[in-house]
Amino acid sequence: MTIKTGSQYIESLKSLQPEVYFMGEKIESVVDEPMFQPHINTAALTYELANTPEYEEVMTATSHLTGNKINRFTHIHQNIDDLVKKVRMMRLLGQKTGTCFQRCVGLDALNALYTTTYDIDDQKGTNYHQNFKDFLQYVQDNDLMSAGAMTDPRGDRSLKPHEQQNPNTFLHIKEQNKDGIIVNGVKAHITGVINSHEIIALPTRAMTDQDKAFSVAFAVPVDAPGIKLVFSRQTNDTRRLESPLDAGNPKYAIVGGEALVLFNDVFIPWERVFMAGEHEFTAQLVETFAGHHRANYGGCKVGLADVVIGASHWISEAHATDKASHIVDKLTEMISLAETCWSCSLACSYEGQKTPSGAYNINPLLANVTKLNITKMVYEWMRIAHDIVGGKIITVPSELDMNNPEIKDLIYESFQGKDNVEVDYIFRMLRLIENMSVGAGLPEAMHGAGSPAAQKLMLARRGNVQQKKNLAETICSIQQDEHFENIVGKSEDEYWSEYKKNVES
Amino acid sequence: MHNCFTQLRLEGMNNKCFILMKFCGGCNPQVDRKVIYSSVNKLLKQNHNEFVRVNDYQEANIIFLLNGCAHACLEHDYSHLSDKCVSIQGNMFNYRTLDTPQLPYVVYCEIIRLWNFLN
Repeated sequence: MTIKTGSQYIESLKSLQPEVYFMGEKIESVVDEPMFQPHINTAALTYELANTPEYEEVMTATSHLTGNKINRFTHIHQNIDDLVKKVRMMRLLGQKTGTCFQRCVGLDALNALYTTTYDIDDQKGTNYHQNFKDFLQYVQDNDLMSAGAMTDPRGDRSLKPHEQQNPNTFLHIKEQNKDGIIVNGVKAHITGVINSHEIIALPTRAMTDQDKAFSVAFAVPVDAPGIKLVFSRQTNDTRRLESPLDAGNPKYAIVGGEALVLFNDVFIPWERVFMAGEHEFTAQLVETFAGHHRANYGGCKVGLADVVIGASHWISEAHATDKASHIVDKLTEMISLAETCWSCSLACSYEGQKTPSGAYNINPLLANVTKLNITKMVYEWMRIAHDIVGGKIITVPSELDMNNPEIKDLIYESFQGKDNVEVDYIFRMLRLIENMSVGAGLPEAMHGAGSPAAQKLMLARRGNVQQKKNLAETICSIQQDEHFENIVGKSEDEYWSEYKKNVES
Repeated sequence: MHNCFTQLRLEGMNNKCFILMKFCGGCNPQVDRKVIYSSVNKLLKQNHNEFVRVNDYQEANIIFLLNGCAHACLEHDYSHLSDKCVSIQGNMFNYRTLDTPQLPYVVYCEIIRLWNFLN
């Protein structure tokens, strides 16, 4: 089997026994826990659509290792078209789920490791790239979901990893032997990990010579001995246990479902190790991963924007405000913001570049611009949605009250719109917008794939300011402008000298 | 790098090598392509008189692609002729970043290596 269906994916999770904790309890079965169902459904859609003819063109790819048709979430980008199709896949899944579909982090970790392990081996004579390709083929052949685990808690941010009083604030190699390495530490807010098959751990920052123990990358099954997962709370999360309507998006939930991943003496065999001490490649690995990941956000979040714009328009029609000029203006502003971000994702993909490994990378400068825009524009289009739909999104009564015979009719009259619109549908739309615009999705847009400061750091590094200064100096005639001199047929000095004489006469 | 220079002899042939030096469009270059072009041209002229500049890729034995950035537009345009191309991608050669002053010499070495190989 190469490509799983949605139900086959869920079935495959049953064979795993991850140690998961949530709300004070140890969860015996991830797939049977009601709180996790929407997150699992969302990930399942990444499998289901790959088996759907009308979506398989973007949802699948051809493995460069085996020639087999595979889910694009396990693919290494082989050309510009792959980069473009990846962000098209992101937008599609954002539209279909209205939330984070979790698998892109693992995809980006696969691609970053593919190019970086190639370069490590090339310069160090190690065997990481072959290790990684063996793991990659295992992932592709079995269509596995990998959780990319990059962010460490980082303790005192002013200190380097080796300077921390508690070394567990950064995932690190505790010891190594002929069979493999033993790691300790933590990875924080790891998306989709409880319903993944594998964890791919990457360093969180550029390391120094003294941080070799923290310069580590590997893959490990999610239920390996010594790994504990603590599932995070989200805004209004337990509503899904009380009322599907109140939950807003009961099928697919809100953001990805993050967890704290605790590593306590976890053994990783050498064949699953992709970096162990090569600190000089950590910056490349982090930047490559971050670039791929930041490119995604103009896809997935714009898919969510499509849903919110549709919902906002639906509410304005239901209330007969859709023809008002200020509503039309606000809706078009939302569209403009969303398509601006989409343009950035497409641009950084179309401007992609080949790497020594043969795989393709996005344009890092434009990918960082993409994500920086997302940190602002998601807030802006959600703000406009609030403006359009009104305060009802935070004052709708609960479904339990709507079902109370004593007050049901009065509640329904209170929320009535145009005569031909079902009031139940109005409730659903209001709750959907509340779910997408008031909760965890906003800070996720801010900090997922790194904070704005991280993106600006990359822009400062890659902005090529010297070239811009040269341009300005040429226009100001501080540097020679040979094209101007060709046009006027003489040097600039001669030209301006004659020019001044002519003006004066 | 310096050792490379002593090996740059054309091996046992007196054929002329027709070379096309092609600039990308230069929309947002990370290097001064013209400086690199001039340096490579100078190295070829100083050390060999077998190289003849042409303006048509159909006449060329070797094509030097001066891409201003890593996207390397020309590599897409000339992908069907990749066997006879030597290419830079901004400040990269073979997709590895180099100090910009190194680039002309690395390109020169590669042109000689390719010409020897083709003969």
